[in-house]
Amino acid sequence: MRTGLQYNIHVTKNEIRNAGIDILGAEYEEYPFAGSAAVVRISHSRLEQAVLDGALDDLSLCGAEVLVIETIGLKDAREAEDLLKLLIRCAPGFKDRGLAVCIENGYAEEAGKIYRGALGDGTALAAFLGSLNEKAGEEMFGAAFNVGCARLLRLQITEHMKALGKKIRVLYLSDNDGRYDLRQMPYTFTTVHSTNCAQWEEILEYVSSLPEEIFVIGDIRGTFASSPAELKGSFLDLFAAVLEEWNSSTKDRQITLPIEDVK
Amino acid sequence: MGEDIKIGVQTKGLIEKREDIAGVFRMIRDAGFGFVDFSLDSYYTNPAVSPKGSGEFFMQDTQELLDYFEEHRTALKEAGLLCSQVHAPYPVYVERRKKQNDFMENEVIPKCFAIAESLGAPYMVIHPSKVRYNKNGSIEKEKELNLKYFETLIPIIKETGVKVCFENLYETGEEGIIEGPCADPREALYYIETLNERAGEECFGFCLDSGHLNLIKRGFADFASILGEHIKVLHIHDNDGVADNHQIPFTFRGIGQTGNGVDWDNYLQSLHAVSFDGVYSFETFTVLGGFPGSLRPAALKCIYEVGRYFASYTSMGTGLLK
Repeated sequence: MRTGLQYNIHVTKNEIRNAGIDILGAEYEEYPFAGSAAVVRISHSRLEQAVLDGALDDLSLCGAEVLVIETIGLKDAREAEDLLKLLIRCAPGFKDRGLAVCIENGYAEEAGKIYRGALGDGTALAAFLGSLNEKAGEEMFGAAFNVGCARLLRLQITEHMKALGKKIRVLYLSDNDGRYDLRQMPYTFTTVHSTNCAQWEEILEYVSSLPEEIFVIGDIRGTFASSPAELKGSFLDLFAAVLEEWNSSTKDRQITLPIEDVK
Repeated sequence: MGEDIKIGVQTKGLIEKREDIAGVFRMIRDAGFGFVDFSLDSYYTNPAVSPKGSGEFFMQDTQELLDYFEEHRTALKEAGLLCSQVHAPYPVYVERRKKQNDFMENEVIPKCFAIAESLGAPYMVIHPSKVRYNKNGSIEKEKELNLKYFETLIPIIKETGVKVCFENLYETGEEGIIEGPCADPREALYYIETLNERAGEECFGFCLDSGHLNLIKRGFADFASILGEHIKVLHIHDNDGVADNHQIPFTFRGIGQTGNGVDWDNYLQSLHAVSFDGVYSFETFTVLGGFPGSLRPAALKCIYEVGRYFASYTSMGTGLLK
């Protein structure tokens, strides 16, 4: 498991590194400021133009290993079909440059109401990936699972992760109150004895059963956007401790857990 | 910023099992805290609010209780921590539960004063009773009942030197969160001024609970301007504006300040305006249950740093840490 943080402009690279955290992910728009990151995320709505602009060459030159396609705002089957066609068109380019591509679960929003949209749940995303890989003729597309997006939809998170199983190559750690996409620190919405929050313990246990190569990335820009500059270091230190806990805990569990039949 | 900053955290969730008390207080000290809010409410969950509630613990006589907490008192001292405040069990009064109310009034609360005194706490938070939403209840009846009860505490307050603080409360109504006793700062001021006048000295003050205020959507400025120097104690915590989450400040808003978390700038400006110089005490027990046990020291350290920022902000009017 490789762990780190999604770069965001609310903290500096030095602050992140001083906390002992790797910059593992970046948004496509912020990628030049991140320096380098193994996992780069781009919105589905920007993908076509970015490819035309030569983004794939830029990313591979900068050492990106995985391109994540964010699907927030993808409303229905028709839009999903359009995305599928675009990805198939781009597939040779991804392959030539050695970029693994993962599709992220998202949500859609209309008039302030959040709903699943085309790829909001694990089952829909798994089916989409099945069609995509079939058309590509090989297993070249994987899944990026965003805990925060699933929480926002109030899904039973591990059930949706299980629907994707080993297809999950990237896990974004993010938390919220089930109302707003806050991109906050894991555990900060956890209430003891309540199921109305992300069940981090279950998530951690399931992640332990996934292949070791998974990227686990803190997608917590909301923490840094909403806290004063003086406290960013303290929140980074706390997140560093969370990552350390995940690293040591998954190692322990990988040793002690029975081998699970992961889809 | 200097050595005089005073930052505390509640003990709820840390000491009830009585396992390694000295280690717990060292962990609090090592995170940076100098003070604790001793959660005596953890030792008696009232049957009125919890089916598992039992008053058994407080059936011990006062000396037995003092003996029980001797270990805590010693551990606090060894860790170099001071007890800035105590939280009493609640509610003191529940309609049509005379036996239970008598037990609370005659046994639990007096024993809490003795424990608070032994721990060296200058303040004890006691929730004013909720009567306004009872059948045939009203705010006037609530005030009458609370004034009558709290006036009876004046002798023990003077005897022990432990002053009582009222806290702004909420109530869960059919359509969500509604205001409870002292949610209106003018009402809190009425209690404090009336009772202090009857006592002939300052025996009562106020505990400003940031999370409760966020739940009822009131601003801090009113509380600060109306209650001013009566604010003696703080319960600092954050929530989503819907549930009483008791979490780390700044964790309920996101990009562009979306979300319904506490408006901390408004909170800190209000404390600065009244030159608050008490203990920045965090009521964040949920954090210790929400984060895995191995992350408790890191979570406590983060909370402490938030406290340093708060103390800096309210003393200087800016958040610049030195």
